[in-house]
Amino acid sequence: MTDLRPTQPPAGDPETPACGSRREFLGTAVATVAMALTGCGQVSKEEFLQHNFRELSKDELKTIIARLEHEYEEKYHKAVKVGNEPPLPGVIFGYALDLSRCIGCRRCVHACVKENNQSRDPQIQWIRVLQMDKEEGVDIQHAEQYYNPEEVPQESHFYMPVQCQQCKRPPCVKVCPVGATWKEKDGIVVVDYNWCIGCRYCMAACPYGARHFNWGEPHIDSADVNPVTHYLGNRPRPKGVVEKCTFCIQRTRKGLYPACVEICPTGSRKFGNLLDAKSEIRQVLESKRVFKFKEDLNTQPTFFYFYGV
Amino acid sequence: MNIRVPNKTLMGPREGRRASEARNARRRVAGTTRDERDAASRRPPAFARRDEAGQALRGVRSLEQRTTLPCGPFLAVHPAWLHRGLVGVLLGTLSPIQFAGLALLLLTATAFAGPPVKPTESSAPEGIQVPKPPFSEGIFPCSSCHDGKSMKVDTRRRELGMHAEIQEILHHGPNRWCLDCHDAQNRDRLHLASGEPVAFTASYLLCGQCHGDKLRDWRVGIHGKRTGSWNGQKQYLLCVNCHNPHSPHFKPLKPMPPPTRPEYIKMAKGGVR
Repeated sequence: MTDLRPTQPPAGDPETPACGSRREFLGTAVATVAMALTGCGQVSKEEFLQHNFRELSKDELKTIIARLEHEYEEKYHKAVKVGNEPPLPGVIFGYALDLSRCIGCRRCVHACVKENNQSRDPQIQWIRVLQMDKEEGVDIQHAEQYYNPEEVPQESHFYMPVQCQQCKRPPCVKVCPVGATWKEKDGIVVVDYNWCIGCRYCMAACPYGARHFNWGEPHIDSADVNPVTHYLGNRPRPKGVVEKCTFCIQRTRKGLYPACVEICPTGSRKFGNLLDAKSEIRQVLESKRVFKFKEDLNTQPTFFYFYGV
Repeated sequence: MNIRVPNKTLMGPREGRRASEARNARRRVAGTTRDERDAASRRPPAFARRDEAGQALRGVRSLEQRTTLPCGPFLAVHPAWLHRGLVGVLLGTLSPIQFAGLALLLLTATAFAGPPVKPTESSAPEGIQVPKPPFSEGIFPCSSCHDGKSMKVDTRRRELGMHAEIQEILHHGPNRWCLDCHDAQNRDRLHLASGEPVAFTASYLLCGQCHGDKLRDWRVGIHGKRTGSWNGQKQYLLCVNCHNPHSPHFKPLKPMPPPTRPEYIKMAKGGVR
């Protein structure tokens, strides 16, 4: 994660390392030179030399998490736990949203912001609720996301929340030049914020507008920071990386429902294991009229929309 | 001509080996083969059934399906035990001391036994975990006023002197009257169209008489809201947690603030564009 902004001159030599071996010496030398060239004095040597999440050994991951937790504690003055729960075996997550019940109250949007430590300023929101015309049907041309009446639902309108569709063939993963984003075994598309270079190809590739870029240094009041986080999910992000919905990976891998499901006052949001025939999501898929958003693009979302009536 | 062959011999001579094996497999699943029954009668039932109780957490399990007699939280008595004990005495295989011990055990069990099925406040008869119905403050139990003594039961349709707040909003189909759902004899209960009483915690049975499709969807988790754990214990909201039973249409809400338009998003300190 390099920052190309020439803010400060390189802060001289970083702390002199204990050059035990040739490998360590070369690593440090390269890091020093690279940092001097790119001018990113804020990134520590360890962070600069860190590998992709999928290549980390258990010990490396442990030290990285300890470092992150320390950084967060310094920044937010409270203990932030960074988890790395692996995918549960025999689980592929699926999500269904009842278009006939959603009233567009945006409770989910704000619960998501709170749960997932999204930047309040500049504002980032992973869920976008589209207000659509009943006469037009699901048509992005007639969608409005800035609606703000006294009461919802409004006459002759329906509401369609859009978030990451956790595609089976994710175009965002395909275009990533560095492999900083990938699909986990349980179907969640995740981002390694420490590996992302901020090229935003994935944002261009995503047909759902589900990825968001940290243009500025994300700001969250330390009182609002959710201290229960996941490495690939809601841990506070640095500037210059892309982030997205992870089905609340820090909750769902522990067996909890995502925050948006828990908050929805109309019960429009359904979540469960696609491989469990008794789960709510399977019942929906088997007995309701279901569609996938932009199905023609063959992204094969595991996020479904249905009509419950 | 169609000749019907009576299918009364379960172990018919014409039955192939594979068919009987399949049947045995089915029985084994149901736990009703002779071996299974013997095994069940030998092992302590309280532990034997625990794994099943774990499974039952997930789903709906009716009372008829219970194989242990409900005897309070301390002991579950398996029918096979009773059977064994009596047979043991009859055949003389149990010594009188053993029998006395067994009798003591059973007596203790009955002493702890409550009423046959005592659903807790929050659990409905089908084993579905539901929250408390959203009663207005101080209105429940209804029998604190409607005790049948100080107030005589009057089943005539009329304007009530009380409960104006309900009468004003009552908007649940045409010609609705309190005693269509509330029970006149026991005011702390509701009743179905058949007259069968229903607890307030199981009011979904009442709603399901007309809204059967919704009840069907609610049972499998399509309609309504569940919270808790997607792979474990779930809380189901009752119909009345979202729909006021006297005026069931879902009420409009004030939306939370809309997103900021991109042109108004301020860059945090140090931000560049």
